[in-house]
Amino acid sequence: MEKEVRKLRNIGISAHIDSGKTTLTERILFFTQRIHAIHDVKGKDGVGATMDSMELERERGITIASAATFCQWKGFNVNIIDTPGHVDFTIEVERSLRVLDGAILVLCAVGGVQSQSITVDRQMKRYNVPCVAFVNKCDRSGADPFRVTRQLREKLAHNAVMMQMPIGLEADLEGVVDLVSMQALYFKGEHGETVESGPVPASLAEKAAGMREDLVDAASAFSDELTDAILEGREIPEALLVSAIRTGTLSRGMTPVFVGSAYKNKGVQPLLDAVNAYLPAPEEVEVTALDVDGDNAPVPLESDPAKPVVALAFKLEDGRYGQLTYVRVYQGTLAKGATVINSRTGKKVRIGRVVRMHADQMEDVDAIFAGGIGALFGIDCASGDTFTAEGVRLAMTSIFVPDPVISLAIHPDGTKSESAMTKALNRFSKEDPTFRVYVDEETLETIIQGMGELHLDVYIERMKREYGATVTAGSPQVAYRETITRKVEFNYTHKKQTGGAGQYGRIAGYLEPAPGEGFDFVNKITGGAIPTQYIPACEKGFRKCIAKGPFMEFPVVDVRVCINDGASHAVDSSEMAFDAAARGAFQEAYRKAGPVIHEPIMRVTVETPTGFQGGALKLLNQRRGMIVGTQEEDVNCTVEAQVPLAEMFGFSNVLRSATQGQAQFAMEFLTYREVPRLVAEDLEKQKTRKQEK
Amino acid sequence: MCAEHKTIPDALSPVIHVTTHALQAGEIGAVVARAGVGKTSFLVQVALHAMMSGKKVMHVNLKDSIKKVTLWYGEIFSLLCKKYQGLEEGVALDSLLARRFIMTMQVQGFSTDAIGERLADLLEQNIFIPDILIIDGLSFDASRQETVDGFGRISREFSLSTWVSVPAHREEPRDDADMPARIGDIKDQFALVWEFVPEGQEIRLKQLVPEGEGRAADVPDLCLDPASMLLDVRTA
Repeated sequence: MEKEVRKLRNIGISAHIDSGKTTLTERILFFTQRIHAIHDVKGKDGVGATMDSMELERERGITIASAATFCQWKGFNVNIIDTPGHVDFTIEVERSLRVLDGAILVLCAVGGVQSQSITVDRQMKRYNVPCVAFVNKCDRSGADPFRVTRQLREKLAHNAVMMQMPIGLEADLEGVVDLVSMQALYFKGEHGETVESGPVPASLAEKAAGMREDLVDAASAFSDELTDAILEGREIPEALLVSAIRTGTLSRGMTPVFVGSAYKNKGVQPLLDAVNAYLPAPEEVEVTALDVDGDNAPVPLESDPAKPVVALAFKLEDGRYGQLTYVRVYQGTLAKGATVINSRTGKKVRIGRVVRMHADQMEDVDAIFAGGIGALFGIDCASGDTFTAEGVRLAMTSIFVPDPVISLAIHPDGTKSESAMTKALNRFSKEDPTFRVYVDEETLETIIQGMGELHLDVYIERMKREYGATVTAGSPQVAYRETITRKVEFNYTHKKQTGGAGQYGRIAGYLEPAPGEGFDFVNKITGGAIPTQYIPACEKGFRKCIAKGPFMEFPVVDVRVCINDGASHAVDSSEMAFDAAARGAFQEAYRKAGPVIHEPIMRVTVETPTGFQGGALKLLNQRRGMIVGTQEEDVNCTVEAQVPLAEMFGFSNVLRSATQGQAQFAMEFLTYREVPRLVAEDLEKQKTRKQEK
Repeated sequence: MCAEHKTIPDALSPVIHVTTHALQAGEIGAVVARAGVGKTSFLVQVALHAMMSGKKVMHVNLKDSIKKVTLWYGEIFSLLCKKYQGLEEGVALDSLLARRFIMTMQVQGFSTDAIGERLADLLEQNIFIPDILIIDGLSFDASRQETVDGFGRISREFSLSTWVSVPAHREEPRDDADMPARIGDIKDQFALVWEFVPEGQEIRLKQLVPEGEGRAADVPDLCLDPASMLLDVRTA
């Protein structure tokens, strides 16, 4: 049965936080009989929804990890990935969209198209994921699915067409009218498990007929046969209408909109029918891999279980039984006991247990067939690795990984925490490519980087809960640099006579700016003014100085030291003496060479709805940002600016609150630039204060 | 003259003088040329010249991304540095860029009201107050009158000198004054219309507005070098 790729759906449920997607998933699992009781996200019963497998998620009422789950509906196999709704976890959303073939875009009937819907929609567009929309929470006061559908058109530029109309709204929500079959659907039983159909209520008949006309009209753009039927005034067969809507949906030319309330168990089953009817089967999605041997040329893959296997590891999880690797098989069959190659490392990997996941429970299967999603046990790999059959040299296109935008210094409280922290950090950075860890060479602090402050908070919290590692997080330090602006000559004599062998070395030359060269040491000594054996000691002395600049103790860059004269003493000169002479010469000359502080400047890109453009510009401007420009596209706008990194801490939160969470930003290192005088003075004051302490 | 001029090589000053003095605040100038003849290149030079003179430029582009517009500036600046010795030492592109604001939008999203709104916003928040407005990539096909009226309004309201590029086609009909049909009916709105026309080995400047009297006597003898697309004052 699994071999019937045509009856397989890999779908994601994406939406703004709090629009109820976890509740919807829970209901889907209930109606597909994967679970036999219903819990709420913030469950009063202390159990929590099945998809929120992490304790922390339950506590915060948010979904962090995308747990894959499997269910069956009317003969179709459906893999569902519950995706997180918070901006900080977009990598999770991006990863799920990469491996999914279709999605349900959940919208709140009250809140409408909100920030995350915009972000998620942008991501869906990037991966060309067809979707159906579900306007949830129609039972809430202020619910207006018609307005939300309009917003889908206006804010997200979707060709959104309502497939259903609600029978009553808010507290009076009774059911829905299916505009394809023109039947009223009611959800009876304790949990709405029985769907009863009946005639459209007379009071709604006229409106329903009008809406059906709109639907038929929209669908006719995707079917000549349907257009002919309309022109000839023929009766429109239901199958023809469904097929036209399907064509429109698959091409992303149309977004069917369904309505209901997952919490009140209304409209979930028709949505499942829609998943079967309108979202694509794996074979209907064009997937290409990259030919590793052939300049990464794209190679189309076929959803054929008989072909050589190509599978992508899209998520790792550290489960109770070791590392669990979620895979999507794009071609061939990934069977228990088979040997595959990890195309990144070239190593052979033997497939042990193959399981199908249901949130944090699992069931063993013999194989995952082309198009399927499942998980493997005990495989050592990284997120994003491709597994192929022997002899096949293909890699799946790498999942778009945004660079981390926030970093934080952490240190463990106590030795016990230290080893636990190391273990946790290793695991997290393997699981999540946007979470990175490094040790700062200058401060020797452990620095963690991620997509936002909440992202890092969650990991710090997880370290504590899952690994027992308590850490103290500091505020991150910006990597400032020093350099000089003028050429200065030096002539320094190091002389020390304190009894015994003395120290003597004279060293002369100049310092000059050398943009882009880091540190350049030039030896122009002629005639043995400084004996050759002491030259390395001179260079060593200078190098010691540049590690910690004499001005502000930041590393010195882009400076050239040239020595061209000096003197030595037959008895008192030594390597140590010339090392000291070099340091003395550098200290003396450096202060005269117009030292300045340079700071990292980031290229910041803010994506925001046009309405918040002014606010975003203001925030960047307040942060010493230089606005390069703005780019307007449909309802969205991108602002590009160059902003000092030092000003960017806390920006994600400020931006979010200034734009109702609708803007997102990315930044990358651009260059180092001199800090303005006032800022330099501040830094000097800070340094003095630190020294006084 | 602005203090910035001190760092400008002598050879470049005459060209800068022409482009920065061509329009007064509140006036609109148009540069007409066929595709590929050098409209964008001319406008970027006008902008760079103004920036070197200490003025601020808002560059609105309806065809390309910010990245592409930025590349144009980088390319033209490096060509200028190659041509005029001492420019690179005297003027850092980085410091100039603080005087530029790029705004790109899609043609369908474009309206002079939208630009006016953005300008008012920038002004109100004291983020960027331009002296020169450059509009590149507008086709001047539909609602020409409305658009050019809008530019007039913005230019007066914000005391801007506005330069717009106008594409011309080889087969496009021309009126008696040799004005391309698409701007013939709105030519009165422009203080200046310059056309760049390939002639033999060079691209010559032809002044279409004002014609006859007034500033006609001062028609600058400018040309574009077809190889680099850099402006030059002709020394006949």
